[in-house]
Amino acid sequence: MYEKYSTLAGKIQFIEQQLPAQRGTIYDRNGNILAMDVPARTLYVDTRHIDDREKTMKILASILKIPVSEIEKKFREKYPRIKRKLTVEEYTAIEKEKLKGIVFEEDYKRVYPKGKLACHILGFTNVDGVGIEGVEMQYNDILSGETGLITIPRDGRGNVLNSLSRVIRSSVKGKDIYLTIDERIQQIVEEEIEKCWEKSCPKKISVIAMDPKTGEILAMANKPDYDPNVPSRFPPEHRKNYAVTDLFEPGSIFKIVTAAAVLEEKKAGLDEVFNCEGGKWFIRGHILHDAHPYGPLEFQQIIIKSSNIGTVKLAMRIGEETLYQYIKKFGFGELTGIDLPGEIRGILRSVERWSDYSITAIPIGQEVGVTCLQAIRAISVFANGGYLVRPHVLKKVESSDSSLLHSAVTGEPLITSENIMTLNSILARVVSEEGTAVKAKIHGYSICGKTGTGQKFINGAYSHSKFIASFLGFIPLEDPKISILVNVDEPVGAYYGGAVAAPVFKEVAWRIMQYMQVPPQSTSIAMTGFQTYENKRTD
Amino acid sequence: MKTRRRKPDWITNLFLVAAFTFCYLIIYCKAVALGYRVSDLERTCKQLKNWNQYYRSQILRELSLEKVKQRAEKMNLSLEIPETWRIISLANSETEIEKKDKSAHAEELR
Repeated sequence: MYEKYSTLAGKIQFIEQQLPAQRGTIYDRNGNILAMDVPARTLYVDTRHIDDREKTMKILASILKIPVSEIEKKFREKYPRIKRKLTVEEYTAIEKEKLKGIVFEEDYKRVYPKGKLACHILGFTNVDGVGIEGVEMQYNDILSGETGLITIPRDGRGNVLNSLSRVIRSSVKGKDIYLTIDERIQQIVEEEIEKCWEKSCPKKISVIAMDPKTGEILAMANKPDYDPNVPSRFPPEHRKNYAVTDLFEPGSIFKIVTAAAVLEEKKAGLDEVFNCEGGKWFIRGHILHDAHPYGPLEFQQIIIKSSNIGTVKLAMRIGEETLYQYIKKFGFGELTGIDLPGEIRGILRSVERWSDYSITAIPIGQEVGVTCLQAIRAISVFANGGYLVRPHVLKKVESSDSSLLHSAVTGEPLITSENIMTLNSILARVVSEEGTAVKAKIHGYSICGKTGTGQKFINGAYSHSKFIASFLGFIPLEDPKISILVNVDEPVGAYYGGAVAAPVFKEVAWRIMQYMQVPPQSTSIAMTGFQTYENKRTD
Repeated sequence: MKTRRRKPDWITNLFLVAAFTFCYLIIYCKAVALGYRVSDLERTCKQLKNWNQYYRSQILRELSLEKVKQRAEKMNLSLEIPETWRIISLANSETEIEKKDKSAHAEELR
C-alpha cells in the first residue's frame, strides 16, 4: 500500500526527463572527422511565467528567424516546444535576453562538416538522432550512446524546479568509429566525378576505389549526391548509393571472367587464333556484332580488342555449366557482404534458366545484372593473387580490442598465380595503344584494366542510344595499390567505356598515385645519394 | 601554602568544543561554498566544451573542399592540379651521405 501511494506521489512531485546521449564521431582512416555531434538545445516556453508576451515573441522570432505569427500560434499552448536543435549561437543569444519562462532542454545535433563529401557512405540521421542511411544506419547501435535520466521536482503549483534536478542515470556517449575511407582519396574521386558530370552530362556516375588486397573501400562516390546536413532538400534518388543498391549490365568488363575461366580450364592457348567473322556473326538465330570488324584474332587479342564474337567463341569452348560456375566463383549473383545497407545480389540466372542464346550473351556481359561492388571485387581478384575479398568500410571501433574487424581475404584462390600473371599481361595491353583503354594510360605506370560499354535494356530491347560506359582496373601492375571502378550511366555524346570512363580512371589513379607517393617505374632518374622520380600527367 | 584554584574541566571542555564547532562550521561553510563554485565552474567548463565542439565543427566546415572552392572563386583564385610532380627519396642511408659531404640537400632538378 505504502509503495503504491509513494509511487503515485513521486509521479506527481517529480518529472522524469531523458538526458540525450552524444552520438559517436565518425572518422576517416586517418582520424579526420567526417560526422560529429555538436551540442544543441530544444527550446520550450512556459507561457504561464512570461512577463511580456509580445516582447518575448518578437525576440524569439528575430533570433530563431521564425515568423511571429508562427510563434504566436505556438504560444496558445501552455508549454509549447518552439524549436528543436538550436545552435549554440541561437541558444546563447536567447539566454542573453534573460527572458522569463524560457526552458532549454539539452540535446545534440548531427553535423557533417565536410558537406557532401562521402555522403552516400555516411548516410544521415533523423531528427531524433537515429541513423537512417549509410554507415549511420549500419552502425547505429555502436554510434548511439545510452540515454540518461534526471528527475526534476515540482512545487505545489506544478512549477518545474529545474535547479533542483537530480541525475538518476548519466548518459553514455556512443562509440567513435573509424572508416576505411581516406578523405583525400574521396575528395579526388568526387572532384573527378564532378568534371565528368559536367563533360558527359550522364544520368548518374559511380566510382569506387578499393584496396584490392584487403577489400577496404578507400573511396566511394556517386553523382547525383546530396548534403547530409540537409537531406530533406534533395530528392530521394540523390540519396541512393547506386554503387551498392543498383545493378547494371556490365558489358565487356565481364569478359575478364570469361577469359579467366577459359585459361583456368585450359580450353584455349594464348596464341590460338579465332575467327572473328569480320565483325558480324549469325549465331543461334541472332546476329552478334563487334564494335569494329575483326578477322582472325589470337585469344589475347580478343580481350585486348574486346571482340564480342571472339569472347563468345571462347566461352563456347568451356560450355554453359563451367562458365556459370566461374561467374559464381567471382561472386556475381551474391551479396559481397559490404557493411552498408541496401546491397543487392544482382541478377544471375541458374543454367537451367538460360536460353539457347544465353551462351552468346552472358560471356560478353549481357543477360546478367551486377553491382559496382561486385565488379570491383572481381577485378581485385587479379590484383591480389586470386582471392575474393570482402569489401568493407569499417576499419575499427573506438576502444574495441580487435582493430581489424574484417578478414582480408576469404577462401581459396580462384585462379592460379600463373594464369593471373598471364591475364594481367593481357589486361595491361588493354591500357595501351593496341587496346581499347589507351585513354587510361598513365606515363610511367603499368595499369591493368578493361573497358565496358553496355547497351541499356529498355522496354524489352537493347537500346542503341543509351549506354553504360565503364572502366575497371588496378594500378600499378607490379604491386597493386588500388582498384578503381568507373561507371557512367547514359553519357551524352561519346559513350564508349574507353572514351568516357577510362579518362576518369586515369585522372583519379594519377592523383592517387601522387597522394600515396607511389613512384612510376619506368622514368626513374638515379642521382648520387638520391633517387628522383618524375612524372607528367600527359604523355 | 596557598594553593592555586584550578578552572573546572567543563569550562575548558566547553571552550574546546566551541572552538572545534566554530572551526568545523567555518570549514563546512567553506566546503559548501567551494561545492557551489565547483559546480559553477563545471557548468562553465561544459559550456566551453560545447562552444569548443561547435567551433570545431565550424572550422572543419570552413576547411571542406566545397567551402575552399567557394572562397577561391570569390577571390578569383584558380585551384589547379599540377601537371608535373616529383618524389625525391633517399637512396643511401643518411650516415653514408654525411660521410661524403657532411650535409644533405634535396633539390629538384629542372
